Amino acid sequence: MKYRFVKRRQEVSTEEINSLRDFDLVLKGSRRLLDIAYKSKLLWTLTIPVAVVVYTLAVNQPAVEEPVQEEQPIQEEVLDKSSEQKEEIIQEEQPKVEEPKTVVSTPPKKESDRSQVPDPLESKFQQPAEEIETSSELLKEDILIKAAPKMGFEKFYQFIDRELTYPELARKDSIQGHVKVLFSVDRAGKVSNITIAESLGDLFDNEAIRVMNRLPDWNPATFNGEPVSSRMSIKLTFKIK
Amino acid sequence: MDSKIANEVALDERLIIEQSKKDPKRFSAIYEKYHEPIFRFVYSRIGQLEASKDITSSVFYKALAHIRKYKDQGLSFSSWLYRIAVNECYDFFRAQKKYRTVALEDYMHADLLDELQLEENEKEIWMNSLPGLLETLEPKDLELIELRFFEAKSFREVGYILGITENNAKTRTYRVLGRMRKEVRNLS
Repeated sequence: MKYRFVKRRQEVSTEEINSLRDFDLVLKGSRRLLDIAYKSKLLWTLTIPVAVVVYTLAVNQPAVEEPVQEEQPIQEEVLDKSSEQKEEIIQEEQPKVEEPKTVVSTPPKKESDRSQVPDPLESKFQQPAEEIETSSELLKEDILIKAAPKMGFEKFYQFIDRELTYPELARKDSIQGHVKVLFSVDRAGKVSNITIAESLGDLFDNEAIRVMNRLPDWNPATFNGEPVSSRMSIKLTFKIK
Repeated sequence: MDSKIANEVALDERLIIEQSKKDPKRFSAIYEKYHEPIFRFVYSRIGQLEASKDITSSVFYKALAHIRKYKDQGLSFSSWLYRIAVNECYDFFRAQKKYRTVALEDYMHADLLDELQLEENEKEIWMNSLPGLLETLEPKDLELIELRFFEAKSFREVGYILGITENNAKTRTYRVLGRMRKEVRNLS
C-alpha cells in the first residue's frame, strides 16, 4: 500500500457534507443491487431445472440407443471412438476453462460481487500488484521523498559488493543467506543506529555492521521539502564464492 | 452517554433496521444519523471530496441492499457501516490505483502520544520521522491505530470492523505501538 502523506487534510464543514447527502441515490443504488441479485437468482433458478433435464436425458440416452447399437455394431465402434475423442478434448480443455476462474478472484471485484458485504477484510488489504500512481500526479509538498545514497543506488550496491566479505571462519559450515539491517538516516544524511533485524550469526552480523558503518553520507528523506530523519532497511547477502 | 439513553438509542436503531427491511425509505433515519461520520471517515482516507461522496453513498446503499443479512452483535449499527466503508475504501485504492491519504497532524493526537509514552524530546523526533515510520506499517496496522485513537473505537469494534478478533486487535495494536516507540528511541 502506498501512502500519500499530508500535513493536515483540507477541512470540510458539516454544511458542506450535508449538501452532499442524497438519500435517493442510496435508494436507487440499493434497488440496482437487489435487481442484479434477483436477476442472477432467477438465472440460476432457470438454469438448474434445464441442467437437470439435460442430465436426465443424457443418463437415459444409452438405454434408448442400446437396440440401435446392437443392430449397427460398426457404427457403435465409430461412435465410441468419437465419444472417447470428445472426452479427451474436454479433459484437455478443462484446465483452460478453469484458469480464468482462479484469476477472477484477484482483480477488484465487480459491483455485483462486492455486494456480498461484509466480507472478511483480509483480501481488501492486499497490495495492488502494479505501481499505484505516478508521483507527477501528486503535489510535491504532499509526498515523502525517501532517503537515497548520495552516490546513487547503482554505485551504492557496487560499494556494498566490494566491501562485504564472506567471513572466513564461517566457510567451513557453508552458511549462506542474508542479514537484514535497519539504519537511520538523520536530517544531515548521516547513517546511524545500525541494528540487526534478521541475523545470520555473529560473524555475518558483525561484518554487515562493519560495512554499514563505512557507508558514505546519504541524501536525507524530505517531507514538504524539509529534511526529516528516517529509518531504512537493507538485506546484505552472503554467498560462498 | 448515560447507559439508559444508550439502550434507548440502540432500541430505536434496531426498530428502524427492522422497519427498513420492509420499507427501505425508513433507512433515511440511519442515513441522516451516520452520513457525516462515515463521510469523514472515508474522506480522511481518500482525500478527495467527489470520490468520498460516491464511496459514502455506496456504503449506505450496500448496507441497505443487504440489511436482511445484518446480524446484531451487540455493537452499534455504525460498526457495520464502518466495516463496509473500510472495504469500499480499499476496493477504491486497488481499482483506481490511488494512494491512501494519511494526515500527519492526526498522529500528534494526545491519546496516541500518551500511549506511546514518549519523552518530551522524543515528540519532535516522532513528528519529524512520522512519514518514514508510518510507511513501514501494513494497511491493517495503520487502520488499527486510526480506528482506536482517532475514531475512539473499542477493541471489540475495531476487531469487528477489520474482521479480526477483539484480542487480536488489542495485541496487534500494542505490538505496533511498541514497535513505533522502539523506532523513535532508535532515532533519538
